[in-house]
Amino acid sequence: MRYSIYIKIIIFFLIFAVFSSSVLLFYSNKNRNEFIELTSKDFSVQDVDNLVREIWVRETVLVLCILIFFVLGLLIILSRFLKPLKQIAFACRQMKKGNLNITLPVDKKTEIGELSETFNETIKSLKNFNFYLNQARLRTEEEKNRSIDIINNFADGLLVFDKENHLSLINPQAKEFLNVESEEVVGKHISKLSGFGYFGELIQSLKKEQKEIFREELVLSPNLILEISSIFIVRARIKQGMLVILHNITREKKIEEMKTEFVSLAAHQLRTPLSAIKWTIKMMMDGDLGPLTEKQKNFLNRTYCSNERMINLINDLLSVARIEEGRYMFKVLSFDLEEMVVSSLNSLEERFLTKDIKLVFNKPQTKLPQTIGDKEKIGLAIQNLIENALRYTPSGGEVTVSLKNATMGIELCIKDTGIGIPSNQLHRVFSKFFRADNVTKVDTEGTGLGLYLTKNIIEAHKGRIWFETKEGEGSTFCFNLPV
Amino acid sequence: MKKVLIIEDEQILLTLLVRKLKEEGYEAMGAYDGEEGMKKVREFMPDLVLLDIVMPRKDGFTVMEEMQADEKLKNIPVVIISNSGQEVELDKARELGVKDWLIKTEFDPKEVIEKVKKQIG
Repeated sequence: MRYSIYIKIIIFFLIFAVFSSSVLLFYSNKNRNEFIELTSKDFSVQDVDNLVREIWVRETVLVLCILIFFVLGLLIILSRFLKPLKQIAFACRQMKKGNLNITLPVDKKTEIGELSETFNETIKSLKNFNFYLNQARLRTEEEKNRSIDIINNFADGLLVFDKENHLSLINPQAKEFLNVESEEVVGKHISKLSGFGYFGELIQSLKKEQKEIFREELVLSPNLILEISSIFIVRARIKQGMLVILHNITREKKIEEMKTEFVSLAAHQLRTPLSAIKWTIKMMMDGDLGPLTEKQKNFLNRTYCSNERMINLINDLLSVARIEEGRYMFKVLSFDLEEMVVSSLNSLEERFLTKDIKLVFNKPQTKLPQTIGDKEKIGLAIQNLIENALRYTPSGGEVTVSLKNATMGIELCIKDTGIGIPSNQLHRVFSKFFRADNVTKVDTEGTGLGLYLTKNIIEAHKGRIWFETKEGEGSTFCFNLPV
Repeated sequence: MKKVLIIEDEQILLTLLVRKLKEEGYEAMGAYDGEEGMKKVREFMPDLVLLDIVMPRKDGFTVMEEMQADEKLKNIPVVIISNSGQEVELDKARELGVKDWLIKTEFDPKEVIEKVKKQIG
């Protein structure tokens, strides 16, 4: 329990009152006695006058003493009260200046002491708060540095534009690609960047309307081909800016070129002698080089067929090579699948007629959505399936081609009444160079690559291919393509 | 008589085509590579060029580029006869104004003549 300053003052006043009143009482008593003593004897006016004067002096001195005593006592109490207040004021000024390393002396006995203690506690929690704030700031800074490190060391070039299309960030890789320094471009509006390095070309690709683009090719020089993507930075559904990613695809492009060249060269080398043979035999068979006997014609015809097989095999091998190259060979287009199926059927119509096989086409009930994919490759897949049906169905049979809108996208089924596939070989149907036992007896032309190619093409388009078959009764091959 | 120039490095094909075209009543001339081909295009001023792509000394694409750059040769129709036929090559050829593209193994001489007839009658 602390002594209140008020109690102190009250005690002081009480002591003072008791003391001064007792002193005054004592003296007034003394004065009275002296008067009595004087009046009991003979006295002159002079004596009375002297006594009065003496009493007056004494009383004055006494009152002055009491006053001095009072003031001094008050001063002592107040000074004990004011000194710590001054200290607190000083400490507050220091705190305002940011100095938190101050502690006030605490006299636990007074309210001021309590105040000083509270002040010290406040300073302490302020210091703690400051410490945590600093820690948090350091962590944020570290996080930020880490992000910047990632951005700066990223293999792709990165550019960030703000809401108003000012360039706010460019990483070293992007600077290298675009051949610019950050000082000259950062902070500038997109419309003012065209003059710096390759920025003109980049901005042209990003287009005026500023929409998102995905993997667009940009050739800056023969030795620098970039793939550009731009993505809107969106927070809480509001566009905050735009991120532009520059990916170097020079190497991939070079490899792609080499592959194209290789396939082209291989095709040329392998096909040249075959076409020479083909054309010569054809001309001989047509009688351009003089008349032939039946026997000669027969032999030439068989040679021609063998040569055709060789050509088909090489064509299929080239297709396999191209398919296996993967995504770079896919030339994506939007097209009408129904139109494609119809044109495939038209091109094979004559062969169906010659072999006396009924061809039925079930058109889709509703208009099909556009298919997106590699038109050439899907055409090859459809051609392969229809040709297989034609090839392995004996004369008098029937082939039904059905095209429809299904839940899993567009579905195409080709049903035949052919020889079917033996049940012990079903698992190998889609393998490279697979030919079923019963097939090799009927037909010697197939290469065993058609279904392998078809499956690869369909799966590369995220579709699925499946079949049902019964040996001697026929097969149905179906595939779907997601829309 | 309509004039056809065949630029083709495979001798047997060249001989066959020249022979076949002559039979069909065209004035046919052959060149064995791109460079000789360019020379003959200028001398002979054909109505149609049958052009191979992969050839020694100068390939078919270069021949087409040079023809495109020359005001006098620019409008001569070109039909490619090649053994290759990749999409990229076809695209490139289309850009250079090619009329038709034949893959040799998929055609016989008779069909080539039909294509020639279709172009210049």
